[in-house]
Amino acid sequence: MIKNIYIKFSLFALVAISQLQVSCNKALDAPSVEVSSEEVHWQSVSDTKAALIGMYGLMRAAMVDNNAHWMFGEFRSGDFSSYRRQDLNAVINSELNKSYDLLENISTWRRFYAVINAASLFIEKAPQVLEHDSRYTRYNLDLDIAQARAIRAFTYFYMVRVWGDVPLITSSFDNGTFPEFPRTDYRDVLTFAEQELIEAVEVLPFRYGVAPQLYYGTFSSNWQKILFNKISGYAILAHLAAWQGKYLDVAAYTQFIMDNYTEANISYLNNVAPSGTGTAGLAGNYGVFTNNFQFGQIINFSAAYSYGEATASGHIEQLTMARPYINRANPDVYVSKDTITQAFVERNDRRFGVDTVSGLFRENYFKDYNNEIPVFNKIKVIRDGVEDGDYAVFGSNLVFTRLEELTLLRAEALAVLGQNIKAIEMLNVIKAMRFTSSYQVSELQTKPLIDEIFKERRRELMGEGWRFFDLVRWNRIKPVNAKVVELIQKDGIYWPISRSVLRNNKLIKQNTYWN
Amino acid sequence: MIRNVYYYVFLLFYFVSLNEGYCSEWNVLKNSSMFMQQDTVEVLSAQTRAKISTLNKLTLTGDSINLKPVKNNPFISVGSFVTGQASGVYVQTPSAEPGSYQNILVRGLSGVQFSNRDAVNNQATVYVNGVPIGMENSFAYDIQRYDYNRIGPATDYLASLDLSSIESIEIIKDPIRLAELGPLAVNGVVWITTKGGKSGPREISVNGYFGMNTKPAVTPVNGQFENLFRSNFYNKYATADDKLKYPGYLSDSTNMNFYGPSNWKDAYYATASLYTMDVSLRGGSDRANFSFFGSHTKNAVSSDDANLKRYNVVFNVNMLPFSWLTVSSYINARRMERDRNSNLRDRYAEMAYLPDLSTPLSPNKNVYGMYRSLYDRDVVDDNVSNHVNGSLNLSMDILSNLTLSSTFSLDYNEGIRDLFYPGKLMETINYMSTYYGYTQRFIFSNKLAYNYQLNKSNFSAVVGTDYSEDLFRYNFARAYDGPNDYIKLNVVSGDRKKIEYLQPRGGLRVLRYVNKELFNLHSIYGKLGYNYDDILELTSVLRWDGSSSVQRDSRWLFTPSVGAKWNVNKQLDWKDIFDVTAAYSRVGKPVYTSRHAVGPQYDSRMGWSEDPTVSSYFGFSGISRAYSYGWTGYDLGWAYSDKFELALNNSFFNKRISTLISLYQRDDKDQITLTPVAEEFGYTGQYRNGLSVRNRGIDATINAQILPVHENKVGWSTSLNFNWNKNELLTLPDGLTELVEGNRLLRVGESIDKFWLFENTGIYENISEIPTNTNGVRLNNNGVPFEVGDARWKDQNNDNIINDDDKVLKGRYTPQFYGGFNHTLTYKGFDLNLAFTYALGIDALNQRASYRYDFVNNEDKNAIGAIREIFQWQQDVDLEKYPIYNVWSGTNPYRVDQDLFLENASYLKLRSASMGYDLSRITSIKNSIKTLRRAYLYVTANNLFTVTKFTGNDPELVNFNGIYDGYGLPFTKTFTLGLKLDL
Repeated sequence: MIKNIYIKFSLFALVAISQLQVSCNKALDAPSVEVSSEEVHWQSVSDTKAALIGMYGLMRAAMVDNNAHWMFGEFRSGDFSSYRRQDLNAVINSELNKSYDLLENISTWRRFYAVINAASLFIEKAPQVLEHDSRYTRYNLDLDIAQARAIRAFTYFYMVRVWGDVPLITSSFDNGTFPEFPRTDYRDVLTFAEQELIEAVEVLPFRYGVAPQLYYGTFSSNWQKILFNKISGYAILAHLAAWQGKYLDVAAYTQFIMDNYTEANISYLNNVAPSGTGTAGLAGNYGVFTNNFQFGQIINFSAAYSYGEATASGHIEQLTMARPYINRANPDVYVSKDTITQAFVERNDRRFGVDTVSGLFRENYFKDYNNEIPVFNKIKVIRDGVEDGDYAVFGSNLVFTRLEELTLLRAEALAVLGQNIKAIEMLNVIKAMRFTSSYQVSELQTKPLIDEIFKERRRELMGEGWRFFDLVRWNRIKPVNAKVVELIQKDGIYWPISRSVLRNNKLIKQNTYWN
Repeated sequence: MIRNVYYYVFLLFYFVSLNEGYCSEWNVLKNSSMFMQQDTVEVLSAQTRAKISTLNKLTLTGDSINLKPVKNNPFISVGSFVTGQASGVYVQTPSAEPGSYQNILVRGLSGVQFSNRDAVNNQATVYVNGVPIGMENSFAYDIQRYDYNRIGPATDYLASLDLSSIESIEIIKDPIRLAELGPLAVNGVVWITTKGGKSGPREISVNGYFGMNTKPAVTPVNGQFENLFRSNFYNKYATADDKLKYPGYLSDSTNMNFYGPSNWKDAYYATASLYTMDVSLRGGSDRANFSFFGSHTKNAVSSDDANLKRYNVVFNVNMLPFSWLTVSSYINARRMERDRNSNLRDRYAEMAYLPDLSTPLSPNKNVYGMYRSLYDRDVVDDNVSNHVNGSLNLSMDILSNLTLSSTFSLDYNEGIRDLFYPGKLMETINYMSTYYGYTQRFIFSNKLAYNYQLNKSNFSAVVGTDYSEDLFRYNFARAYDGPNDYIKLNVVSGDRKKIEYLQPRGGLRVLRYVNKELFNLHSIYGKLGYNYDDILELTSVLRWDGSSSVQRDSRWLFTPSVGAKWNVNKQLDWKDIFDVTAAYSRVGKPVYTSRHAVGPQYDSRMGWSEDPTVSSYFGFSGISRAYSYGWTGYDLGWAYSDKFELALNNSFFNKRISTLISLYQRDDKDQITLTPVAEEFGYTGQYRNGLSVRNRGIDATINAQILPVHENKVGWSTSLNFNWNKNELLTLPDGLTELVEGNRLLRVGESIDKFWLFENTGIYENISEIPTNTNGVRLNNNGVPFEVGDARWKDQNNDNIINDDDKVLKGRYTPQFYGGFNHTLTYKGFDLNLAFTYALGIDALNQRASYRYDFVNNEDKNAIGAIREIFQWQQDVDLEKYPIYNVWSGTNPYRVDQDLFLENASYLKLRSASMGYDLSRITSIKNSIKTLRRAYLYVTANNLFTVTKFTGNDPELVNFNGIYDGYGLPFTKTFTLGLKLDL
């Protein structure tokens, strides 16, 4: 009896199990919680927001990976010396083919192409969202795509400065095929970038999310710190032109910036070391490198501590900080005393000089000048800007460009174009801010204007990733440094292309200088 | 499609068989009155009695381990139980630290194993009483920059089983049996049964041992030694500036912290005690029986106060409520608490934060002792693992030859780790982290077995279905720089309604990581058997497996298997055994990441190489294609393993010698691997099927009774097992012939466990020795000309450039030839057991030596390689062996990827020697305890000697990927005294 019941029960159970098995293909689905699939993406306004943020995030990652931004622009042939690190010495001395992991890792362009791919994909896919989500407007889409185009153009410009000719790929493919492209002449790449930007700046606004109109639920006081705006677009255009020596264009683009920057809440950093958020300033815990900075940025990549993005790596402080700020005997890189005295010639200079009242050295750029190894402290954002350096993670912004930089770029362009008076005017804007003596028209013969502009750039932009590229432009205008001239002539200004890139795309040829 | 057809066939078969069952059952009812009586009759026939399930009903084969001598050893992990005991099983043991991970390989590596996270793809599965023990998912490594240790307690689940509770261990390598077990068993199986219930008089066993692990012999060195070592380089190559920047701790020879006596080892090594105590009980009636086992074990090594405490309970009940129904269940609960090593490297890697490393720990006992006492007092390092597994089985005879059995199995493993490092230990910041993670698996299986005898022919058929769900999850939070060293835990409010819900207190910066993975597997299988008078046996297994980690359109995999066994001795009526088995099977190879099933996907990884976990930008979460992970397309399918085996089982001289020899070939095909693509799309590669690896070899076991056991004579039995294995990469995805991954190269036709190295031929002492090409250009390394003091590397392609093209594949990190050699000698009540293990044709890359010599680059970078542990204040590198290169050279002369650091890691070890005597033979003892069946008193010594050419600490202490980093805690001599009482 019991057995019969059991048999019936088990029959029932087995049939039930079998039913389960029939529908089990679906039951077997165990979607990953880590990723979102193609099917569920590009459906809503939050997808475009995340993808937009993703592009900026990837760009930040590409630039700060192994501190590449400073390796490319600041250390190579620059003012910093390596304390002991052999690999940094190799960067400084342009021995970029030495067998250090750092050099191989920096010389791969994959991470920049990730930005380009993400931007291309965004341009292709974001319009889909219009159909799925009514909250996503055409205006919003236009803004987003303009940013994607600007980011892509910026990335190409960034890569051209580093590697010269790079493959120009304007579509994401995104179908599992990865065709090999040869390198495109850098002029064609920049022409493409310029064209994209010219169209993008038409759409890019000065400010995002101006009340009462929110942009992705947030007001401009936040967006002004990170998003590319109209001024950003013109700034990239100006640099694109400057890199190619098209100074007429530079003058035109920078003119627009000078006329309109206030629209984007951008300000000159009048105060070298502000003590609060009220004034726009350069160094210190309220300066342009901190998240406390309450004015508009031009091109800036944030890593705010308050958002959990402050890290021990990917900031110039990782290499420049040491005692007394953090628990480290010596920094990896420092500006030697000789270089400091060579660069900062005026005692009144607020960046580095001597305080006339106390007779002490000003410490806005360098700490403990009296020590053998002064610590470069112009960019020093420990966590969110605290003095306690026990837990050394850094929250500094990567400021690609700011108004002072563009002012000097404009001065450079005008000087090249022979508009000396206007150029001097621009140069003196900076000099006045830093309390150094103005450049006089009478000095044109004794102190060449172009040299003065580049010397000012060296002082003003130290540590911001400009030095090497400035040297290249300067020596293109007039040869001043035999080594750099040689590098320019032999195409040695470009970095070698990493072995992994060469291995995976047989159409890519190594830069001739490194062969 | 095929699957659907199969369903219907299956259901049809089922109904038909049930209907038949009804009918024939009614016939039985009509014809006999036995049925009604069955429920009431007390006396069961022997045949019925035998039906009662026990855990130990499996017939054991030649691949079973002779556990009796093994049980004299204080081993705690499954890997240790089987080392050297079965042919074809190789166990990687990177550290002697109790509870640390081991990797059990059965018949070689089936896939790449470049890092710790790859091990899970190669490791054999351990089944306990038929329940496959889950493995940790390697996804936790995604949030770690270094994979030295997994986050969490990192305690090997397989260290939780108690050797004393085990009745038998068998290594399953037979293709057909693996096919029956399915994809979870694809890498081979270690089949463990615990002591099960037994009908009959109550049996009690008590077992205990006490032992000690002795200190290793080390030659400590101090700053003076280090200074002399470095002066070789400084005198020869240093510039004035380099000399100026000589490390501070070495530059002052009056600094007693470094130049004083180097006696750190007194504080680091201490003789460690280990013990176990267990009791087991079993008994029962014809209708029901049970067994119980409980134990507490402590294992420890003399280094760094590392130890493991374990509690283990096993309970088994078997019932025969009706003659046609058996019920069997068991449950095994374990808990482990582990005190782990205090290595700085592991700590900083876990913290993901490097402090200034310029000054190492002092080798002086006083200074180090202060550090140590601070460490012991203020550090919280709690590692707890809890494990439960069990099963409930119902088996019903629908007919005398038709059985339905249903099993529900559960396996749950959780790990908890609380960590706190005080500020005093690390500059001035403190660190805390908490981890909670688990692996959970449940399996629901049903099978129907049918048996039909026709004359001498026996037909059998089994159909069955298994459904298993694995869930892997972790919650991890870390925080830096808490308010003080007294608050050691981040206690938060768990009330969702409160505003401070989960808010850290005291200005802690808490970073949280959470992840979850699922792996569901559904299998339907059928097994057909034919047996002709025990002379010829034919078996075939057909399976359909569906996995959640495979994309929908290729989710189901059909795998057939077929095998035949010919019992020659039965046919020819020989007394000695002689049988031949030939088998082929195909088994699906599971992957444990659901990401492959998703197809093209988006993730939120916006980090960079040094900080891989950043996932937001300006506080907004951003997502993008998975550029750093790699492209996943729509066309990913199953990988599978094709297994062939030809086995010969013989015995000679009236079974005094028995041999089991098998030739095998195992092709693990179509495995998914990250394949490089042009980097101009931002991806690190794309995932593709197509990596296939062949393992071929011979397993052999020879058992011989050299001198028969005899009361007053010496008896000597010996067992030799060996495996010769060769692996070969058959194909790579998309017809590639080479694939580079970091410092490793895979090349079709070569072994997958080779190193990719420059061939070193010495040093350039003189500028004239450096070759130049016809144009007078000096030999260069990627464009950097060689100088005096650089390493001579062979220019394989004679292009005057030393680059990746000049690296060759050399050495292997799994052995070509390995096994064990075990002896048992008996005389009267005494027995002596010796266990040797050996591995030949195995190499290791001595990274420890490379790091030691490359001190300039390591220290200057303040990188993880610059960490100097306390135990590195000893002579652990053979300084005679290496030339003095220019450490400042841009060619990186002490790079690890050169054969200068490749060493032969072959070894022979006397792993265990034990001697015992059965006290129950003494009549006075026997008389005083009437029920005494055995009272075995024994002493055991482990790790008595090693024969090797390897210059590092121990050739076994090599990481899974063949890198010797000197971090493994050493195997030292262990002595134990134990008593086993059977009452």
